[in-house]
Amino acid sequence: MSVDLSVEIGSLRLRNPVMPASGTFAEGLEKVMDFSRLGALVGKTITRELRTGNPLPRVVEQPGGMINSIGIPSKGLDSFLKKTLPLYVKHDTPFVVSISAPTAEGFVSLARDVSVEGVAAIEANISCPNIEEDGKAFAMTAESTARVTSMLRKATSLPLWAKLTPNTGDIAAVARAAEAAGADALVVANTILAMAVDLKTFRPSLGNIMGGLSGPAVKPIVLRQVYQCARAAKIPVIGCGGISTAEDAAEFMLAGAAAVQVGTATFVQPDAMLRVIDGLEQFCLHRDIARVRDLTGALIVEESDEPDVAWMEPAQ
Amino acid sequence: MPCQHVSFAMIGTMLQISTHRETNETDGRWHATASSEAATVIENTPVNAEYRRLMLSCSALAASASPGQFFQLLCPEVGNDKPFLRRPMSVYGARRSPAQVEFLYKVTGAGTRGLDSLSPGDTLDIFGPLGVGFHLDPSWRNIVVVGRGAGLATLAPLAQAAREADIHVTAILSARRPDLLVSVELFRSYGADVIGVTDSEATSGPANVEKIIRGVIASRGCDAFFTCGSSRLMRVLQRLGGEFGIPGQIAMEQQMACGIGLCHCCVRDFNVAGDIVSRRVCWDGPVFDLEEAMP
Repeated sequence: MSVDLSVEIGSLRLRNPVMPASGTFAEGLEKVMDFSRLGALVGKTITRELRTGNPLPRVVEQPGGMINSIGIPSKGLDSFLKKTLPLYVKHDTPFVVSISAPTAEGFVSLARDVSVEGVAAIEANISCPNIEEDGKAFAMTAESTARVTSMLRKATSLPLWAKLTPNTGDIAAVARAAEAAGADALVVANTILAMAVDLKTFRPSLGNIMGGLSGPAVKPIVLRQVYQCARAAKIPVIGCGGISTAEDAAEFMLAGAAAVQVGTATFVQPDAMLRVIDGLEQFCLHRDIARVRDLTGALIVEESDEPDVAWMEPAQ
Repeated sequence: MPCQHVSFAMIGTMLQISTHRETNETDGRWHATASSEAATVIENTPVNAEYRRLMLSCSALAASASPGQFFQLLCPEVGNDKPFLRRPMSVYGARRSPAQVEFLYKVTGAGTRGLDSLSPGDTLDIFGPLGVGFHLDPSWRNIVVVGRGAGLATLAPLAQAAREADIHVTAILSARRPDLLVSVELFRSYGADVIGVTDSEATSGPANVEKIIRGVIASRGCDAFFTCGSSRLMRVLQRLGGEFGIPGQIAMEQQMACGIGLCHCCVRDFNVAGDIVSRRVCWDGPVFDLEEAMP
């Protein structure tokens, strides 16, 4: 038996459900993997303007993860179109461009300018905790999500993925708002707003004081949010949060994810995405699952018989 | 010193370091240019009161490391130390046959405490070689190597590489005390003139180091500077480089996460003809043009 690993994210067909999380992918990863093995490529978020990024230190490790506040350093739109995009369009793998802007109008104009040949989809990073004051982001409320998403929808005919933030009280409402405004898929989720203190210096561990927590530590929280979003919306959900192994990916798919993004795990094991792809295939083989997409939403939540029903047996 | 047999078999490659951006598709097909693997510990022993040398048996790809390149080490968890991210470590030595790579480290935190726990036969997950290493121009005849502290480990592999390229090395090695000078015998074994300077002997100050370098320039001449491990020595070399028109290279450090240019954690500013440019130490370096480096 062979396993069909392909999945569909709206109109986009991927050879497998595994892709990098934005901000953890660049040409350097080609040192250890053939990009034609991945389901999709997702670039680091770009902005129209040049951005230097946040003050150092930008990363601090934590038990089971790390907090980052990189701050989206960007060489700008021209550099992306002339230098970055050509690096990735040569691969036979859909390239997804991640975009950010300080205003909805900025998102719209950038989406227009990156809707070019070679771009397979736009991931709208409306959830970075590191560029607005106090960790604020569009995706923290359903209203601002609806506004920016509907404007983006009119600006591009490319598949539009909305990357949501976990830093919100009602992520299901945000998911519904993004869907109603025309998003083709939801990426759930960005990093969790977090902080660490250096006890040697009494200073924050990060130059930006606050940052985003990622890695295995966040997995149970984001898994729950994927479940909530998949129940709330009909469009595909792409799970992203602490996925390091095929088993993690399978959990996310069972909870409702159509595909997964692997981020921080790549920093620990550079070939983590390949391990997840190969492991998913083995996972399905061992369970006689012919198509990996059959995992999506296959979580069993109905009441079942207790496994131990000995008390129902006739007395000996 | 137990490190005299460090050798760089890939000397040809080292002399013409191409940027790693070009190396994935030389024959039209993808192939790996860095290895993530379980290497086996051969030796893990102290070289002095502070530094330990870790020698590993590894793949041919890992063993092809050039001077100035580094590895990302997934340090073992010991007790309460659970380092989540890999730790960058510059190559102290590498040889092709048998395939081995060596590191010199000082126990300072959770990662290096994990390295300290390794015994022969244990495995260590290593990822490399990474980054852009030192470049030796075959036309050079004399170079001056100036290093301090842990920087001496990074500079050490230059000794043999220079010897094999028939380039004479004057090494000015700096440490707090004479017993903490590492790599002295290594440099000498490859024919380098070694001048040790130390804080305890009050010889390591920038004024004295500058005097020594001026002497070398005046006597045998100098085609290039190489340095690592001290911002004040860097400034001395930048000043002398400007005065005498001598190019230089510096290996720089920065806290890293991914090690392959993905995350933009390890950026530093560089002064490129008056413009401040941000570069990733792991990807654009860790060896940079000395003139452009900023502390």
